[in-house]
Amino acid sequence: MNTALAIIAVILVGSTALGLIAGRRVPMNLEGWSVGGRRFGVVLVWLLMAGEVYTTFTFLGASGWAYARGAPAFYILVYGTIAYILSFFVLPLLWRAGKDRGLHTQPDYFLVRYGSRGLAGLVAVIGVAAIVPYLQLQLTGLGLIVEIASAGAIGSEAAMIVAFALTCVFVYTSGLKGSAWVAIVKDITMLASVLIVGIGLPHIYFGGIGAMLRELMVQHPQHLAFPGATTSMGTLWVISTILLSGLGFYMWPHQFPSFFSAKSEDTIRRNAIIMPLYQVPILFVFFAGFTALLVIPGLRNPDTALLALVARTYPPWFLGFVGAAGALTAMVPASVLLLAAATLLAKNVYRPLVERRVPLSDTHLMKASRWMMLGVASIALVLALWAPNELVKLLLFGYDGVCQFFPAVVLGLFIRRLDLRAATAGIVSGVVVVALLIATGRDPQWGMNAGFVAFLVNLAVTLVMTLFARGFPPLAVESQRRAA
Amino acid sequence: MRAKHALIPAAIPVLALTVGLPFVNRVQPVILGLPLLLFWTVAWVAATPGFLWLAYVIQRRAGGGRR
Repeated sequence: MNTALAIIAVILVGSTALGLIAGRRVPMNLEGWSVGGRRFGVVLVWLLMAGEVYTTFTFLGASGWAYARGAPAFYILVYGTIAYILSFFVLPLLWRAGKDRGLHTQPDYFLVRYGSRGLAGLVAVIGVAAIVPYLQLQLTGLGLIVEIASAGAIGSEAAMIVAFALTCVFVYTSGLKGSAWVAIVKDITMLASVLIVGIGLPHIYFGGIGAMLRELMVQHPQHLAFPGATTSMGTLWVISTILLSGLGFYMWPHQFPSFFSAKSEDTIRRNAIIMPLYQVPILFVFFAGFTALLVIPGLRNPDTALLALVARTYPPWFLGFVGAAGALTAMVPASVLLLAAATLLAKNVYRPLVERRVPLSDTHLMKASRWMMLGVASIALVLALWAPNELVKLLLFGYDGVCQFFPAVVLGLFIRRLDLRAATAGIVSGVVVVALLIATGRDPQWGMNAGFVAFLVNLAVTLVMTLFARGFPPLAVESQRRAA
Repeated sequence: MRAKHALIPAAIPVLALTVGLPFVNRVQPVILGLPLLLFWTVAWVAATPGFLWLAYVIQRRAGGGRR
């Protein structure tokens, strides 16, 4: 085994052990496993939510897009900021609804707001379908890291299988609490790597960031304005993608438990204020990608640009450190995603289907959700092996799905008339439109991201159906009664 | 100032980072070493906490922050 791989292995095993120790003190039922027993302090909640910012997507995907496509990658720097601004106003209202009604998951919200188990189940299934490409992204990223760190000795396919096994063991044993603690290690190693690499690489090859950018503007004058090195990703595509991802950001099923467990509305607002600063380091990921374009152009897989340049420039132990940071940015989000998917399927699909016949015990549900976790992880692994795709594209597929929840979730907070039929019709039309557009190769459509086109259809359907809505939905009726 | 006025400072970075983009889709001028488009996006992302803090203060003054 070479130095880089050995270092990655040591850091991964150490982190898994940390996760195991942290997870041990939480009682092992579904609640403890999936929402950490609802006793997370503000710091842990923040770490879980901030952990979303730096995943393999940011690390390898963003540098890969900066390398291969140029300016369209800037959307990655922007969309989180749009999401935090929105969250400042919307999340406190959702949190309040969650607290008043004791909600845990996203389908729970649909259940009380629209009073339908069917819609809650549908939302759970769509949410899990959106999580699968996100998981595939993390497994693919882990595979690339191990492949490069081993200098090709371990193929990416074998590496993905190892990554899959590691993640499953990690989630199976420690649950959310383990993930939260490992997230601390992850964010520190990740930020250190990004800053060292993003400042160091331009310095080593060009004498500084400014000089590297000047060289880039000379060699590739089109690279730093839209549509960059692409033909289809102009300004309209970038704006629509920023909006798609910004609106979809807090619609991910795994985000709901995170902000539901915050201490107060004020905590959420203050989090939203500082979060954009946490995004600025993404700039340095771009710098690494740009430097790679100038130094090692023509890579077969752009997602390997950052690691390939690090492997070429730095000693093996440092490649090991960066590789380990990358591996953690894949494993922590992967375990959070797996937990969310398993919980959704167990609580909001399996339980309502089975409970009518037999009452379910906690241990039974726990066992069921662990099997579902294995199932979801296996699907992601199969897709990673046989339907490989770019890291950024994979995340956009997920956003195409989750963004369709936005009208029903957010407008549902403000428009009382919005009823079950309007919400269902909106979500179904959005999902169908985006699936059709992608399946027929029409992404982008009219210069816009297909997911955003579908979102507009969804929004229009929801609003028109709301005009024709008859009764008030259950939640609105209740708060009306309480007000009276 | 009422609580809904908090939307005004919050809307500024949103507009700058969406409808503002077509107007800055250029490399020149280079500011602080960054081409205009990249400088614009980074600067607005970094300035957003200031705008949100302003929104927070407005909400607090209006008493709408806690309810």
